[in-house]
Amino acid sequence: MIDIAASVVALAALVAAVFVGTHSLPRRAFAVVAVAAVAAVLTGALGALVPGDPVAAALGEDAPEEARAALRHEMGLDVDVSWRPLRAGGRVLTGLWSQEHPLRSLRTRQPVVDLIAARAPATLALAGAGSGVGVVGGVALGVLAAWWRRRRVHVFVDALVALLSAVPRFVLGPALVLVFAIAWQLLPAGGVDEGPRSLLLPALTLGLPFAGVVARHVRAALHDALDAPFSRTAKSKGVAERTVLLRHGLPHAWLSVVHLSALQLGTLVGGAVVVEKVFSWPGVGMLLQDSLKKADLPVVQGVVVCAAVGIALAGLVADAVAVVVDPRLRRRS
Amino acid sequence: MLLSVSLLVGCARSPPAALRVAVAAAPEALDPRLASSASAVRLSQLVAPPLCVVGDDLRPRLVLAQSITRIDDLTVDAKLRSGLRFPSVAGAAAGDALTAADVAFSFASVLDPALGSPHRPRLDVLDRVEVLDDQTARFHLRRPHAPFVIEVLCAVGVVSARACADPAPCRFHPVGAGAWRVADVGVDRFAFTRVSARADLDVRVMKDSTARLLALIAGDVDVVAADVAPWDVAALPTERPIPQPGVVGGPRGAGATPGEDKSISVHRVAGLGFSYLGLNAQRLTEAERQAIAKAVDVDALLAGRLRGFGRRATGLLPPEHWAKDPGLRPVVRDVDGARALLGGRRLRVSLLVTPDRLRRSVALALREQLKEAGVDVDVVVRDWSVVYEELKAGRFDLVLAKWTPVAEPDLLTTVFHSRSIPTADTPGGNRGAFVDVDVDGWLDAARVSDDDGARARLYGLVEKRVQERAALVPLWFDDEVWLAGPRVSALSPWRTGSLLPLADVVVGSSP
Repeated sequence: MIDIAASVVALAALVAAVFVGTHSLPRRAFAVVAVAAVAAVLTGALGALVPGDPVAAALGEDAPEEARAALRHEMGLDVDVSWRPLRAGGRVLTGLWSQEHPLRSLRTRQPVVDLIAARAPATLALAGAGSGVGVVGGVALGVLAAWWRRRRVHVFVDALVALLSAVPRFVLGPALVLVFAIAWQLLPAGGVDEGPRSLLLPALTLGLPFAGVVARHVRAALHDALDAPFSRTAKSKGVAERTVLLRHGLPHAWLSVVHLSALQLGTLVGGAVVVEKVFSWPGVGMLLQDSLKKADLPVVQGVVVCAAVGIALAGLVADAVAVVVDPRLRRRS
Repeated sequence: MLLSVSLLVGCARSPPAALRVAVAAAPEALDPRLASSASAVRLSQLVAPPLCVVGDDLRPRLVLAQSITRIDDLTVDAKLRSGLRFPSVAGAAAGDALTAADVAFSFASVLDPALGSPHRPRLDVLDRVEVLDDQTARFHLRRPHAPFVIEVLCAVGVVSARACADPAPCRFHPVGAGAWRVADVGVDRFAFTRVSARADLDVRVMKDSTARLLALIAGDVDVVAADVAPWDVAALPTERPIPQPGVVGGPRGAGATPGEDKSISVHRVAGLGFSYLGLNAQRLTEAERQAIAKAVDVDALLAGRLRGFGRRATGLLPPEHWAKDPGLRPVVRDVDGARALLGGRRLRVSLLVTPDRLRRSVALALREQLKEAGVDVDVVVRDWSVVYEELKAGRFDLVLAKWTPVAEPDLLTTVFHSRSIPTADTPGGNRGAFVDVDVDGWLDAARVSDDDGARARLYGLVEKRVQERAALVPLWFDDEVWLAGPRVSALSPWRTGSLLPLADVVVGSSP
């Protein structure tokens, strides 16, 4: 009953969020909470509706009937089929935060929150390093592309940017391993044994395609800024082109970089799943993959909810940063 | 940033002393009473082995037991080896001797519903365990059961009664009398300290087969234990020929100095995983099943899809099994005969398969082979949980599946006895709903017989009848393939895929 009530409250929160709007930061924060609640309910509901029997898959064919019944109850699958989505969804919502009756993995019986907490640092380190590579590399490439826009060398920079944007991570990762770990024996091929050295190749694999995307946006923003009247005025007053680019053009590009970073977080999370598998990086992505393969639905649901909260929070942070970066937004808000 | 990257890249790499082993799946528990997946069972045996395991001759191979004696139809005695002790583990069973009381505790706790052990159903035949003395445990059975030793005594690892009275801490830190003890459990990482083994063990879970291969080539792991795909072996930078199955220990023998050979060695033994094409007898007539069996070209599949990494099967029991009828010959491909059995009409069926790359590839090849005989196949790819549901409900025509490992011939009862047909309420392995009164009688008789000769004769009759009536199409037994890096010598994998042979491995210092 508590689970069903939790589902109803979550759906009501979403409706309220729609009505109050999302124009101010406090309202956006409320929307994040609503997104988290609804993500929990939806993943729980989907788990109750997907074909296949997760209980049988988890316990095996010979499991005693009492064990099956207990697990069915724990997962919210022992009620009438019409109530099952709400019951299972509410179970995810309450089970993630409950100390007494936590949502547990079907395979290891460990609380899902503990499993995610054990792996979150690895994924955050990877996502942080990957974002760093993406932003720093992307801004640098974008500035170079804009700086050399009237020279022939810009063709090579543009080609590099296009290549980075297009290369899939499951190709880039093994290629980097072949060069740096096997041919030159400079870095480990996977795992976390060697600390920051182990992080280099996964971070490059995650971050370089992101750098390509950032570079394209920075280049476009700088082109616009360099052609804008304020740049022409600055140049006519004798300001050097490099100064115009870095001091007047680059602040224009920052706003798109901030928003792009928030928007790309979802892609980065998806990319982290691939990168963690290629490099045997013990993060949340590996946990998600493994749980999907083993039909360990509570873990899948927990990871999806946490990822949804993370992405919604990142959007909130991006909005806050954008207000700081752009004085026009500050005046508006 | 460039400077810090250069510094990171420039640091020297030194190989650790422990043996680093890559496995494909994470265990759900290391406590043998709770381990159910192949990965968990194999890892749990390193710490808490059972009284016996299945040996390469498919007979019980004694581990903790010095002897196992059948007193009568309902009584079996297990005498422990002398000098067995639990390792010194802080706060647990510091150096205690392993006694028959620990054996009795381990089996009793599996039978206790509160533990939730996946092995409980198979212990249904066990009434109780009596402690005769410190070294001897007596097992009382509810009914005569010939497979008791392999199915029960070789299936449950023995843990310390004192240390594992509370199952929660024992789930990942069991205390047993194995060659290693658990040192540390991390995320996808398990460290074992040697007790009687030659080296410490660092087990890493690496789910991607390409990642395992690249880590081995780069020198980040020393052994890739099982789950090696045929195309992975073909991609290896080894200068030596791939050994034939049965060449235990691979190209590098026990006498070689670790590190003198820089290349990767391939260790290949005849495995026990039985792949088959399941046929649903409730949807297909006997003539249709026989037509499908005649239309399949197993040799072509073995050569093309498995690249020779398997042996053709004639039935569920491997060719060298003690209960195998040596006179059983494989069905010869006969496309015209298959067409004749179908009476010239075309048959349309669905083939259920899991998303595994090899299985999908085999399913597509089967579709082309069956098409020649007038059977149109729709390949349906579904996740295992869905396939499992469809099998239980009998909603399939054909299915590509596997039984592993095939060691105890009583598995034939699970797969072909009419009592084993699954229903909504009862589980069962006879998913093709095959019914044959004679087969039921032979299987029942073999289950209670204590004469291996008589059992072998009965199982031979079963396999022959199953082949005649095309209850399923036997495909092959997969080879067990392990890969080892240049630091490793004296590696000798077993046919069951057990990790126990790692205890004899010598680790050198060469990276």
